[in-house]
Amino acid sequence: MAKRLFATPSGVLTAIGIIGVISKLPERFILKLIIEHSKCLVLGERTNVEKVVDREKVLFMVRTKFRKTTKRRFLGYAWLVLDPLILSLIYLFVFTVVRANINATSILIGITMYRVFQTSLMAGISAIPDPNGGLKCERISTKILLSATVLHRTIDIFFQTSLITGILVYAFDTSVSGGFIFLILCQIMGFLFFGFGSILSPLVKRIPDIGTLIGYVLRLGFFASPAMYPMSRMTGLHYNFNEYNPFAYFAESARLLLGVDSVFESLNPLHFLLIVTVLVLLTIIGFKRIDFLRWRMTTWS
Amino acid sequence: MVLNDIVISMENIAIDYFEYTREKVFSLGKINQIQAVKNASLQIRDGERVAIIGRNGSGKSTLLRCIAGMLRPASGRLETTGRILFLSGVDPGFDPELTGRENIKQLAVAYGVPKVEIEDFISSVKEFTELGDAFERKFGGYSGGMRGKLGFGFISDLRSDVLLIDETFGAGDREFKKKSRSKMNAMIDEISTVIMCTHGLPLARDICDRGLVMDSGNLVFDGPVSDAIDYYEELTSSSINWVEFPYNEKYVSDEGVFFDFKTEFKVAEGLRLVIHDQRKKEFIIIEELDDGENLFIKRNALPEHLDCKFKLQQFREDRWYDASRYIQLTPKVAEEE
Repeated sequence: MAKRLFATPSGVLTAIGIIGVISKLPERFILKLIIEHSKCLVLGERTNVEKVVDREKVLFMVRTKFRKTTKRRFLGYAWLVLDPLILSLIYLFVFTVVRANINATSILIGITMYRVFQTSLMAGISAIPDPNGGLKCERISTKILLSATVLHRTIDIFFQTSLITGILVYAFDTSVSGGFIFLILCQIMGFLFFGFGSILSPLVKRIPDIGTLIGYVLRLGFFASPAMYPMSRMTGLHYNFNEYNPFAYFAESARLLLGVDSVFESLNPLHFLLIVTVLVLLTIIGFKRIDFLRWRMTTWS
Repeated sequence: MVLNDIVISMENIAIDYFEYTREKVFSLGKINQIQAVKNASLQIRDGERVAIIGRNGSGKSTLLRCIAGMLRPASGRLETTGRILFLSGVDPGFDPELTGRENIKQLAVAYGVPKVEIEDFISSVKEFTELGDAFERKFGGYSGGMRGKLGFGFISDLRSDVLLIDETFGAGDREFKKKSRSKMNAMIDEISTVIMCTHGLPLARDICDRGLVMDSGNLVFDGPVSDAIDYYEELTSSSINWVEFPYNEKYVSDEGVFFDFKTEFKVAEGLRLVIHDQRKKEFIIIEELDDGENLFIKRNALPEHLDCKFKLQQFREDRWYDASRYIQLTPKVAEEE
């Protein structure tokens, strides 16, 4: 074979080519790490096998995150669906049976969306301090960490919203397409607030008191935002305040799309556009800075 | 796999930690900058076994973590080639909610063990750890020793191009320690480049060919491991504070030497016996001691001539302290022998 290759000029060229390719091959698979003050750069093309391992790492992290929330419970993962449902039903009972004057669909939409908003923001805030996603023996790339977090958030939001969407469709005559839009809207909102939360992450890590304050603001926000009641119930300063509340736009748009009492159409579209643009920009900045912030925070103790 | 001869290249690496402190209740606090490593430069070639030795807080582990890509340097540049595994302690990321088997299975896949080899991998870990039925129980219910065994069993089966070890020895009982030492040696034999930071000087001498000594964040020595150990011992001997570990009496018999101490000692606190062979001018270190009030050294652990000094040492904070008075066995005993 070798003799035949080197017998003609074209064969020699082919042989040189093959040798060139072979000599280059391993180099492509070598993982190179360049560590500097400003960055930790991973060089080298990932092989298919390594890509599969990366995917397994993502799945490991997602499973671990879910286990943390369901540990020691008899019903395990079922609580991911049951918890938001039971809480929503409690509020539904309080506001429809005791006060008996608010539309049940409106409450379910508001409470479910507020929960998504709250959990996504808090997940964003705590996204960076988790340095290696539970795998302690190896440096995990930010891409893998981020993929795991986004996948976890997507599944978690789906669990939080799916059963309630089902109830809205089957028990409260919401259209299937409306239910589907509600699911999508929750995912978008969750994604945006996660990105926004990640910007706050280093600040909360440095001054944990801010995390506590955010907790209080979120608790107050639950009662002040159009979560348990639509915006149409608000008046004066309360209404004006919610015109600048990003959550209000998501909740009211969902109510509008699902055909319940909503003031979305009367809200200033410029405000909506501005809020969404700022949120999208902050999310982009948040996601882009995660790698740098994660790197920066490794030496914070 | 590694084509480039140099697998780790470090130029003027400095690492600072930032610690938030608040002295008063109503103070906003301040951020303290702690210099852990100062301008370290070195190159490690493929196939080298390097021991980093130094006192606690000298920057060994910090340097190792930086090489693993887990710490941001304040300045300088570091380049590594190949897959790096960093073993610190014996917890690769176990979940207390899962059984030993489930933990091994999940982590093995995440650390890149091919799925077709998973069952063999699990069997190998189970067999090595000797956990029996406990292997099928929740990890959260394991004792410290069992956790250590499972952790060591797992990490010692992983493979990489560069292995960074940060004091990953000593889990389990005496038998397991022996077993884990030989398994670690086998692991090190299979992996081309190994960097370990350790206080175990005999271990460093056994495994490594190159030694780095760190002191107060500075890389103060780089050379053959035996020279590095000598340098380190010289560095630390001047600052040792001796402590008394009084004994009631000692007996020398045909079977060995027996000490009856006034206070009970525990091996968990880190106790070892150093025997200095006066004739050969060599040190013999016996690390496997039992808890109690008595100490008996068998004759087969001693030099034939018995012309030696004994020193009991206790590991506290960051170094070995003398825990006994020097005991000189008279040549008369050797003559009796």
